[in-house]
Amino acid sequence: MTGKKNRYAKISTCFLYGIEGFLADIEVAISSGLPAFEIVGLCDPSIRESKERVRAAIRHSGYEFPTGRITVSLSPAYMHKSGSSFDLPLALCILLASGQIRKKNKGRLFAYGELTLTGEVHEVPGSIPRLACTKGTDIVQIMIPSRTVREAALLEVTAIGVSSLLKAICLLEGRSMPQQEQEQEQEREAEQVKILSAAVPRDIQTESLCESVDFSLLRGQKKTGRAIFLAASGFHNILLTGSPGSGKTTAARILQGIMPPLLMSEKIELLKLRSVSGILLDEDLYKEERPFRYVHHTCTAAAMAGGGANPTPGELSLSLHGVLFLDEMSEFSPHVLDLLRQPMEENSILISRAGMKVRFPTQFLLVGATNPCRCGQLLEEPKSCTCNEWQRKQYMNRISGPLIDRIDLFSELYRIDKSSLLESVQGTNLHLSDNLREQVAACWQRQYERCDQAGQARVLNGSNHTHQIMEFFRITSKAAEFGVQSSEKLRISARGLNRLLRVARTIADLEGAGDVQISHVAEALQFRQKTS
Amino acid sequence: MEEYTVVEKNMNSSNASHQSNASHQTNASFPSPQIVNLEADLFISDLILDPQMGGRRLRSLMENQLIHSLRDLYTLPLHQIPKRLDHVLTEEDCTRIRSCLRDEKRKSNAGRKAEKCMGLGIFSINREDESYPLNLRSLDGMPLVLYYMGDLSILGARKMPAVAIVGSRQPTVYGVTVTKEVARELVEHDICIISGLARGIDTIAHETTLKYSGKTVAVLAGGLDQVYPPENRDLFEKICSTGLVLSEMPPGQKAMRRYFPARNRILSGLSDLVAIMEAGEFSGTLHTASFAAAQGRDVFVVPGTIYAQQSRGNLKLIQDGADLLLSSEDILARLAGLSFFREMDEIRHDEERRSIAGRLKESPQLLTHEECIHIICEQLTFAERTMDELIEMTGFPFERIAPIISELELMGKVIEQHQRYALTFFCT
Repeated sequence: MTGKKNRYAKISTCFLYGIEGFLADIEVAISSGLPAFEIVGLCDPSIRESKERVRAAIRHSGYEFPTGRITVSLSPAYMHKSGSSFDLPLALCILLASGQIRKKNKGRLFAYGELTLTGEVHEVPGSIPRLACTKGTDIVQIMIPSRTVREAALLEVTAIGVSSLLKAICLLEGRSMPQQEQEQEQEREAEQVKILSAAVPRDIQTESLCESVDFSLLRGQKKTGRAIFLAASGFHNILLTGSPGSGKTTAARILQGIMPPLLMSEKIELLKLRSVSGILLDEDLYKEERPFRYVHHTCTAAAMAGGGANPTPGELSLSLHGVLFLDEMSEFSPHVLDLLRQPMEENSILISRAGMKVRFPTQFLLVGATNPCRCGQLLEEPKSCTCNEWQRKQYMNRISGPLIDRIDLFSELYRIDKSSLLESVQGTNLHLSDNLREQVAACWQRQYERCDQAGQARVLNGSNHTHQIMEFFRITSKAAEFGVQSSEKLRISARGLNRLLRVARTIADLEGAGDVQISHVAEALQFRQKTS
Repeated sequence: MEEYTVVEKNMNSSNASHQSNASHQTNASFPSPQIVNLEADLFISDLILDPQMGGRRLRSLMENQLIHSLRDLYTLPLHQIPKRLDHVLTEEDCTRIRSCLRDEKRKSNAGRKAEKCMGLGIFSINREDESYPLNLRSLDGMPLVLYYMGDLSILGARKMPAVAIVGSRQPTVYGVTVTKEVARELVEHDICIISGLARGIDTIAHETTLKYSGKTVAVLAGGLDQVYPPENRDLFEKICSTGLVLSEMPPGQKAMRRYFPARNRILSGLSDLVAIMEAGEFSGTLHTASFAAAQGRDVFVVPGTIYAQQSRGNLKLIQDGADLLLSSEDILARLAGLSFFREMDEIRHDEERRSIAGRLKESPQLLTHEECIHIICEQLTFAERTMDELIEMTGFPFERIAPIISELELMGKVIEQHQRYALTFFCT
């Protein structure tokens, strides 16, 4: 075998950049010379480490690691690559190049996965974007870690799950596995080729939606009930103010529950993010529930925005198409809060590192919760607040004006009385959320239809930054005049007026009204920010 | 039978003047009720002014229910005046009343006068009429008959708030300045200005109101054809065309010194609040103030300097406990409270109120917008409430209450503090 001069093989694989997967080619050339093993193609130490794993795995699977000068090239060579996903294709490629195995199928082969020293194939983060990038290419055979076949099924990608290097080799050569190995194999996993998403049991889907808190648990909080209903209907950012224990978190949970399930395209986008950050759970694949990210006020800027030397998405991105819940919003460090501003307008966040820039999508419904003052008792009766006017101002000023400007709805919660308290402990058997979710879905549909008519991208009222607000939202001149007059009297800024009209539009949409009337604007006025 | 013919003759004779006053009449061939009433009212005024009869005896006829209506004295034949007279009234009163009513000349005079009045555009209202000013109806000792020119609806049932601005006939520059400013600001808030057409402050109050196209009412001491002071003739005409002039005295009656205090009682009675600009130590304006106090009207007094003679009365009133007028805001705030409570009273005493409460329980969605406002205001009268509490108390859904609260906030009737809503009693 060493007699041949240039032995060469090539396999396709992929690498991650941000949340996108990119196809890459691994080429291996073995030439005679002093034994050497070089990997080129802008790869970081994590890839160089794979040398040793590959060497051990090949030997353990009963093959020989070739001698001679082995040159591995990863292309495209201009892009920075990292991670352990190159182990499996690298091992296969070396075996092919050395002539120890032979491809049965002549088409393009795609593989990725991490190898252990014994030759087992482990999964790596980012399965969804990795699989997604194989779509629409001329790849004929796809080998992936066997744990990720369900992701492949979800994406409707025909892929074969492999649990060991040996299995991969057998598949490649088109022969069945040795008897002993096969039994082991079947024990671990036999699930194979193409499980379509249709095969996903339906009852799991519906059940997952019911897990969220039901609307009936918000008893007594009438204004907030209406506010979160509107927030869900128009994707309006909302700030809830209330004393400790008044149910702010519950309200946010309910809000998540009354939003319609994720669309398939949204879900895949979300799964990409999750798989890239390595927090994808098996049950996530079947969930149609929108994400709910509970962020504590000790959250750092990197955790919020995303980061790391090899940037991974932060909370802003992980709450994609769902709820970003900031508890104790006024306790957050101001510069962490200000990170929210840009992503809220641009629907994406750019993470810049030396040598690389990554853009993660962000599209969240911000639900802020805050105490009305430091002691938290300002809204309670009998008056028990011990803060003075200056302290209250200081407390509320921690949320910067520009951020407040991006919040459409403001509502308050009060400590609930005894009877309601009892009910909330006992729980109710009511399923009010289901009905509301249907109304919200219908409302979204109306908003989408309006966008379609105007030839716009489909966005909900809360994230619609149109400049022709009067025309697009169909606000009657009377209603607009009323809005302007009330802005003057109640000292609402121009931006505030804009938000007022957007909320009014959502109220009208909920009613199914074509035009925005005075009464809609008048109701929206009650959700404006009130300076205390 | 004789009386009937007299009436008939009067009616026919007045036809001619009807034509010139077509706007006030429904059918050209028949006398309008208005002229018959005018004749009757002139007849009554004549009786009142006659020392033989006088207002007291006329009132006693009514009080003892001897007649249904004072106008019956004119329209009904004499023999229908009840014989019971003798049993109730003293002998002297009876003979006087009988002799007065027998006087034929009096009735024909009234007919002639009515014709003249119609020509001048003067009309009358009787205490028994629907259109009799609301503010006077609830007071004692108010005139049985009023003559007017102009738009009576200014003082009608659903009237605008009215403020009397009165003061000295020789005002200081300070008094003139204050009067102009207060009148202008009140007019800008749609408040009617009432005054007496006298020289000085009264004239300025009227002129300022007209200048800013507000509504003004002048109450005269003499008959409406006897404008006093004569130099205010032009002002009088202007007020007639856009506002209203009133007098208790029938046309032809000269303004006499003793009539002025009587005029002042009507002036203060008509208004919701009396503002005194400048009053000397013995000024007639002080009469108005004391009438106002007796009639339950608030008196606001502009504080003046202790050196000016024309301010002495003001300072004395302040010493006696009148309200200080530091800016027109003071008046507006008080009026808002008054009108608010009046509205609330109306609804509280209304039968309808009970039906609102009933319907609120049965079918809250059928209530009108106004009824909802009243229900919400009522809830806020006793304590500040949060939105959630209001929803619980009224049973309205949020989307019903929120626009109403917004509206009330914009009107300035309701104010929000720490997420609680409270009434301001201020609604301009």
